[in-house]
Amino acid sequence: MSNDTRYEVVVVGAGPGGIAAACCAAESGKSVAVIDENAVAGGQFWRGGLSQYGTRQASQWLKRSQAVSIDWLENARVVALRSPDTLAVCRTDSEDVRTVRFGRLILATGARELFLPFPGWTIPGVTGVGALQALTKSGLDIHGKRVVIAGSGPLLPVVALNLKQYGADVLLVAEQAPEDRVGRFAASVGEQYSTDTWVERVSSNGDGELAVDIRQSGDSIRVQCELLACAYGLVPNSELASLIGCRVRPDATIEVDAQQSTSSAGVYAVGEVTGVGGANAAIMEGQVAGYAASGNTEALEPVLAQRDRVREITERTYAAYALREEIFRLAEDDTIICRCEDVALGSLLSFAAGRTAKLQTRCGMGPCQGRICGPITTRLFGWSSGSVRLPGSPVSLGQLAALGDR
Amino acid sequence: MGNDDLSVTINGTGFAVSPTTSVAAAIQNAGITQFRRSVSGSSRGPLCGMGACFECRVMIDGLAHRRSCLTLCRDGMEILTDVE
Repeated sequence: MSNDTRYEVVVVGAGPGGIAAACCAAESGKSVAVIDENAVAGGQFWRGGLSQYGTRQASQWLKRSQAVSIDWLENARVVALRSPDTLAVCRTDSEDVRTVRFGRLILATGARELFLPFPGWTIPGVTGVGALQALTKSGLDIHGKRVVIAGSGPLLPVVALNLKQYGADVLLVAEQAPEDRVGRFAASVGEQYSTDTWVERVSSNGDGELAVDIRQSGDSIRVQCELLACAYGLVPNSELASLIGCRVRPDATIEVDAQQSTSSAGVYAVGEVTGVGGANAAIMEGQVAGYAASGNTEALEPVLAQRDRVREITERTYAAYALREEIFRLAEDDTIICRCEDVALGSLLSFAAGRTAKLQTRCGMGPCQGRICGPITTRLFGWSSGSVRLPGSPVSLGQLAALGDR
Repeated sequence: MGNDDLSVTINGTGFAVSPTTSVAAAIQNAGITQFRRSVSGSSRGPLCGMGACFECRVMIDGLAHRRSCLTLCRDGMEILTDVE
């Protein structure tokens, strides 16, 4: 186990927001570390690393990150706050445990996808939308595969176009929102993009073929495919913020002020955890937090106004994808809600509160610790997500013992 | 896929993969859809693709419960699916 190193600024999350924050803090002369659980920095937007992307934006941040000294702690996950300025960090690829001390902390922990259950959603081959994109970016050979993309949000057409470039046969992009809301996105994908359309059920015949039942403009159609990617937008990863004691709103976003400062002194938050807004907003917020955490007021001033402009545009875009009532009524009595513990809808219906349901059914008590079913039970039953308990992420008994020694 | 210069074994069978391939992708490319079984025995594979759901966990080099979507293939890696 390594001794605890102290950095003036520690960033958790190496996506666009975290990279921008780390660069700005390092450029301001601070010692900086970035902790990320992936093998390569980049987050979801730049999965696989900045050097894989030919965009001007990626090249710019690659250059900035290489021009300064930053310690990248990859394959590492923060599981606890050991003391007010010390993080307990577990390796994801070994049994190693270490502590990292910070002067200022910047949370850039991103978001995960919102899944809403429908019959068959646990069958292998059914994934999230960003999930299928991430798997493809990490080497999944999707060439010639028949794919249905479904759910809601601006990610659907983006992923559809991207998967087509990888050679996938995208049969249908099913957007649940009505056309008048999202019309301008349709053109980019082509005739496969269909609004007022959603997945009702999926079944498998056992040999990797999926039969997807789809509701389209009042009709029910069946589409045969190999992969179904379905998700309904994003949920902020605010568990670590809760663990630290930052104020988190009921919609799971972290409360921040104009300088991205949370309710906990010295702790900042940027990107999707403060409200879903996409990579451009995250990059602007990362810069604000990086300069603010470094006390670099001169550099901070100009990025504040830019951040507000980008936020406004992206928030308008996302507001168009309000979810229709039908989506919340797709699960049947035997549809699994908590995938870790195999708890079905029918066994949860009699409970008034999530806490009682958890104690009696183990709903939310598996390895994902409610990260997938928590947002579901909030939306289906109105249950509050409950408090985050230590450790913030599953650790092995060996790691737990090593943490206790610290 | 390009430069397949690593070799891994999945359930004892050898596969050539590129160094940027995640274990999850390598398993799926090998034609395996069931990564593990749920507590009541039903078939499961990756859901979130980014380390949140724990559905894609497999045994890697003797370590159980590794999230295959977060792990990149390394030369000589031994991957076992469907072990709990």
